[in-house]
Amino acid sequence: MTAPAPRSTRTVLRRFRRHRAAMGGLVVLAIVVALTFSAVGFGPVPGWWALDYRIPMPLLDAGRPTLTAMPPNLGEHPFGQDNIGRDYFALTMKGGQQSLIIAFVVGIVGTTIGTVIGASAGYFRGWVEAVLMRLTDVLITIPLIAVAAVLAVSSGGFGGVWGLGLFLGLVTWTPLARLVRGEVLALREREFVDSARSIGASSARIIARHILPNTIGVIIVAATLAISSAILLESALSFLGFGVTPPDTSLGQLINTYRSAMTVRPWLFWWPGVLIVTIALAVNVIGDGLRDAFDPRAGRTTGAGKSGATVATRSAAPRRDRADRVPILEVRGLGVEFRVDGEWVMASRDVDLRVLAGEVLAVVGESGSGKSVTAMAILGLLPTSARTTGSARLAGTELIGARPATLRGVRGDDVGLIFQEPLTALNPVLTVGFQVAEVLLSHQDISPGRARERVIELFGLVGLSNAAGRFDTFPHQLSGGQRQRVVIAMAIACDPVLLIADEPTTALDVTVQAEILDLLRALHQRLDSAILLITHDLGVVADLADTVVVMKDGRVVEAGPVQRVFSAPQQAYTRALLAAVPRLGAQVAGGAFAVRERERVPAAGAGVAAPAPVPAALDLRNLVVDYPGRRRTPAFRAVDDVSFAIAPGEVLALVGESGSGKTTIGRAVVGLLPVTGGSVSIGGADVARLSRRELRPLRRRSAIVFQDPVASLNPRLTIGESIGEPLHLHERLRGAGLDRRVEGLLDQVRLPHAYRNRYPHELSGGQRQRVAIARALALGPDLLVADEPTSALDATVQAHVLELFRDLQREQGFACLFISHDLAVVEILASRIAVLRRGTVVEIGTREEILRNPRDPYTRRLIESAPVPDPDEQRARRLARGGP
Amino acid sequence: MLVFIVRRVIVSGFIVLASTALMYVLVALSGNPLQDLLELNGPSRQARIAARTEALNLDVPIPGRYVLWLAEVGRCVFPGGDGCTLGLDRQNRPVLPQLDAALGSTLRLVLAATVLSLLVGVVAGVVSALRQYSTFDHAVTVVAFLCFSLPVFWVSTLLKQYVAIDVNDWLRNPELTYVSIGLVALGTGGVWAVVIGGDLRRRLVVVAVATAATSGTLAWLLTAGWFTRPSLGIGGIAVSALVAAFLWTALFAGLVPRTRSVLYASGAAALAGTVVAGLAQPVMAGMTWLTFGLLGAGIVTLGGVIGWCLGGATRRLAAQLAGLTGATVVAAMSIDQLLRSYPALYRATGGRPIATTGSRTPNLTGTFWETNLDVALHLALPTLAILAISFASYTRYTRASMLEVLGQDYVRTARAKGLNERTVVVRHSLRNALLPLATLVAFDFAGVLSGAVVTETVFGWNGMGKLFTTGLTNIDPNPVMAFFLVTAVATVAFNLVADLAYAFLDPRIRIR
Repeated sequence: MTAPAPRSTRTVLRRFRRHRAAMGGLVVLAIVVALTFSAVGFGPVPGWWALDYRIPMPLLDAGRPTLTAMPPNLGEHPFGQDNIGRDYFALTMKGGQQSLIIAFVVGIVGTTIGTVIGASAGYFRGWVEAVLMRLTDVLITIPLIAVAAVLAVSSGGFGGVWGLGLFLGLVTWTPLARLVRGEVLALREREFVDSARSIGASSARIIARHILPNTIGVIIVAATLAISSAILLESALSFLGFGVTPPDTSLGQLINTYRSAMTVRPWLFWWPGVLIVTIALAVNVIGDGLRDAFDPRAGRTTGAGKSGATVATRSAAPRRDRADRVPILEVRGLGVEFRVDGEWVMASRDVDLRVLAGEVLAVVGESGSGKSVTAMAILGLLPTSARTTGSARLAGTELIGARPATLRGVRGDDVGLIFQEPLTALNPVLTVGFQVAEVLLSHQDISPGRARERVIELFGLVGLSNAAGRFDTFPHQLSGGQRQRVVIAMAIACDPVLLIADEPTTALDVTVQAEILDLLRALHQRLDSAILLITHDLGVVADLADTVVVMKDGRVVEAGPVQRVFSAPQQAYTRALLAAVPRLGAQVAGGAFAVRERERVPAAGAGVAAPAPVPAALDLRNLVVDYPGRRRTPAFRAVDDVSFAIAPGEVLALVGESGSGKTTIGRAVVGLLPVTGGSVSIGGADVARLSRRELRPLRRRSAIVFQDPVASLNPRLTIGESIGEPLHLHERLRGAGLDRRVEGLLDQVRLPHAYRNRYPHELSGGQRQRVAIARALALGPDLLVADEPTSALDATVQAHVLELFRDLQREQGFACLFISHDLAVVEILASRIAVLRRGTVVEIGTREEILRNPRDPYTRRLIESAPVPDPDEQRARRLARGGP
Repeated sequence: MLVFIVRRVIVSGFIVLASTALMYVLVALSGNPLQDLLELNGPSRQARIAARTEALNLDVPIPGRYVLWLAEVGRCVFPGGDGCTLGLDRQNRPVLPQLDAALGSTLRLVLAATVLSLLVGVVAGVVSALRQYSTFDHAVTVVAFLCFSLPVFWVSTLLKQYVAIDVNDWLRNPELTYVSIGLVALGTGGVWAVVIGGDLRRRLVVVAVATAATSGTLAWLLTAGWFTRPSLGIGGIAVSALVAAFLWTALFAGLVPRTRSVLYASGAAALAGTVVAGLAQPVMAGMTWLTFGLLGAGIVTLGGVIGWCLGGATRRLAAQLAGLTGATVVAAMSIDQLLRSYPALYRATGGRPIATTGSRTPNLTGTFWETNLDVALHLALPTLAILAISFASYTRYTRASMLEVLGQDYVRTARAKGLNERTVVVRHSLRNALLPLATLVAFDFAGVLSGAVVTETVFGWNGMGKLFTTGLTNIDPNPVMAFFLVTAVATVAFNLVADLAYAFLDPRIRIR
């Protein structure tokens, strides 16, 4: 789990100001602090309250006990007097002041120690972390108040309230240290930290500039809460007689002193108590407000997904066209809006869809086009913050605004749903068999035994091997493809008339994707249920769909039969979308690009790198990378004996499925992962065994661009600072010189100069990836490692970034290790391809050799499985593969 | 599994060692146990100093003293070793007997408070998550924040001063004016309306119904003299058992045709349990923990067997829920008996049944039920105080955890499958949401003990808190160390149980 991106300071302040309770708490706390410190004075400064808290005065109530809640004589002593006649207002104010001092000292001391230790433990791991964790193990066995009491007694009133605060700070830092450690652990895996490390930033710099600023929210919130618990801790300690002792005073000490007066002067007990509660409550509420303000998830639409508010509008009289086939699902004028920060934001509008019986209708579009939202709205599965208008009729039954019972009867029974991410779509604590049986049990009158038989039957139907044995397994025991088969079994359990498949293969590897697509096709033919397919992948559309609906920005752009839309798109957007999708085989067949590449790179001809006059840009020999095991789990060998070389100016693509070790190689090359065996030479220098210090000057020869443009830029640095960091570190550039270079780099990646002062969250995904590229190229590296640089981007954006990347590579002539799972992208950029499987290279050769005449069966399967965005060609490829 | 437990026990042993060593040094540094004797002037001074030095091994440096203390502890751990004392205190009395007395009352308090605050906290948290941003949610949030900010000793003192005294005064002469009955009933109605929720119309109906029901019940109880001679009666047991049977079934099995047999089985278990409880009335007077345990186990087993026989296709669930219903019968029966022993206890305590000091009425001789009612009434106020503090964090935690789970993909999947809301919440969300709570409770245990130390001081309990505070004030290391030993062992034991429970409930965690 990665830590969510923190928010900018301005957003936090704005959100905090809107939190009414927290603002109230802040005002109350400010008043209390001002009152307590000004009334009795602080240090040499005298207070405005004339009466001294130490001096007994004549008792105005003449020592007459009273049981009223308020003191009998207000006048001169608003809070009354204690039993020896001291002014209780002055006493309470002094006590409050002392308690506040202790609380703030505890807060500051505890927060500082906790932050330093937590950050060191999280960043350096090793013994610091071990000591911290063992220490916490030990400390949780000791009641805080008891250890605080022992410490307070040991210190023997050392230094009065300041000393007590210091000692309490020494015992209260562990929860914060754990918290900070957790945050740092998550942050240090973030790509922007890797990115800083790969350019040779020191540990101190990484902690101070990249990690701590991003944990500030957590620390501020924890410090606030530490202050409120310190107030309570101090008062409890003083109450027990171990904290502040006379003649010093504090709120807890006052309560302790006057609790025996409860029956004669109750107010002596009330005032300090009320003050403690007021302070603690105010601080707690402020803490809550800060937590909300810093919470990056807040403000977006979250919430339990019951059926969202729905407004049904009667659809106009049904038009009857294409009457020969009945529409299973007819959607008219569907619109969805979300409430975000008090405003309705449109997600989709005026969507019309008709799914005919037995038809596969694909809704295709880029992220934010409203395709998933539309599908979820049909079944009323949107969060409560959404509202839906329009009409969706399933075989004549209106679903929008339908009663919950009606919707429940439709879901799972008439309509089956397949989700994108099969791991999170299954409940981790229930067996997969039960999760499928549940559908049957809730929709059919069926005994549990019979349901079990039927589930095993379904498991066989979706191609799960050992169907009977799978019933009692848990989701985490299955692979991604197997999980998706379970989800499909769940969706088809009640023979639905309609299957809604929301990006059913996006989370899967390409070979598994091909299998799942084949399965969907087979099931569709066998069960005769219609499919509403939602996807961004035109290859998947070409493979499966009969009809296509293209969506953009929440609206339908174009709809029609798949052949027609692919061959003769009528809208400009559809044409752009089709043009943007890289098509496997297009370059190799064209051949023009390949010839040019040959000329430039004479060495790239054979599988084994020929001896070149200049040293290779990258030379891997027998590279082995292990992930160390933990306790009983053995070490995992991610890369096993890999050798290849990249000539200067050459682009070599590393292709493979998830878990093949391709990313591991990329990270090992730029020194982000320790190498277990073999050598890594960049420009002739072996970097595998160098220490951090020795490695530093060599860092500028290589650079890395990561997959996720959101995670690879530090959200607290401006674009200019991010791009300038490598220049600052290696060339000691600053001021105007640095600005000029940054502007030059922005020019190169075709971004306006004004972007220098923006923050990453103000940029789109494609722009952020341009920034990441500019940063990587800042030092003019000989070798660039690009780890799936475009796979998180939409097709049209990907096309632009790829074009930019290719142009830059030609201009600057750096060598590139291009890591990708997508053969069509690789084909555009690479002159040679290495195919990786389970940590070993199964095949390496020129682009033409690999794509035209793959020798290894695995390479062949990869190529055959990649769907091509062309219905006719895709059918031919599928038949060639032996699919249905 | 066994390997895991053995390994964890060994690790826990080391943690206890480290924790006690740390505290031993701190305690040893906290003061000189000879302080009072050094200030003494008199002939016996040297002799007394020598005697105390001998008894507390003060001539040995601190690390050595710790080892000697460990040896003392070792005598209690390893069987066969006699003279297990856990060291001597300043008066040369062994610590162990004092600890024995203290431990019982403190653990009772801590366990009662933890169980109750978990129950209240989890229920309130789940309901407020299910109705995020409703009146109930806001009310719970406000109460939780207030409770977070309350010093436990202050609440305890207030409870003692106002609640206990006023309730006792009222119990002496239990009467209410019609206006007070009306106000109490209206308040109850308002609470129900907030808890049940719904639109304005439904809320008004709820207020009306609840107010009428409460005022009617209250008036009837007052005129029947229930508050001086309370009891449920066999009819009351039967009614509560049947209601429980219905509720458990509705909650955990659902009121659908498929699980009708579960409802019948639970109902049958409720009736059968009530009959057994009725037949057992003669043995109630001479009840001991043994006979009570046997009777309770018998009724629960009876329920389970009935469920198994009547359950049909869903017999496992039926057996579980019928057994749960049986347990409810046992609880109702115990409450009935406790209530029946109230008049006797009222006389024995001189008309002040709600106790404000101590953990039991001294020299009370009564039946099983009378002594237990006495213990329960002594527990009432301290438990309430700790409950107020602990419940707040459990509620907030449960709410956050539940909200997170409700936003998970698999909950959406469950809805997409057409499951009803009860199944989605109980089966797919609750378990996942409550899993992390196991760790939190274990982690929090030392914190609850902290609260208990303070609460005990306020209520004058002769518990662990007293042992600790007097020991620390008098510079008497061994009782203080006994306290730390117990808290350390209890906390690691709780953590072990939590880990096992977690591993048992979460299939992703495999015990190796």
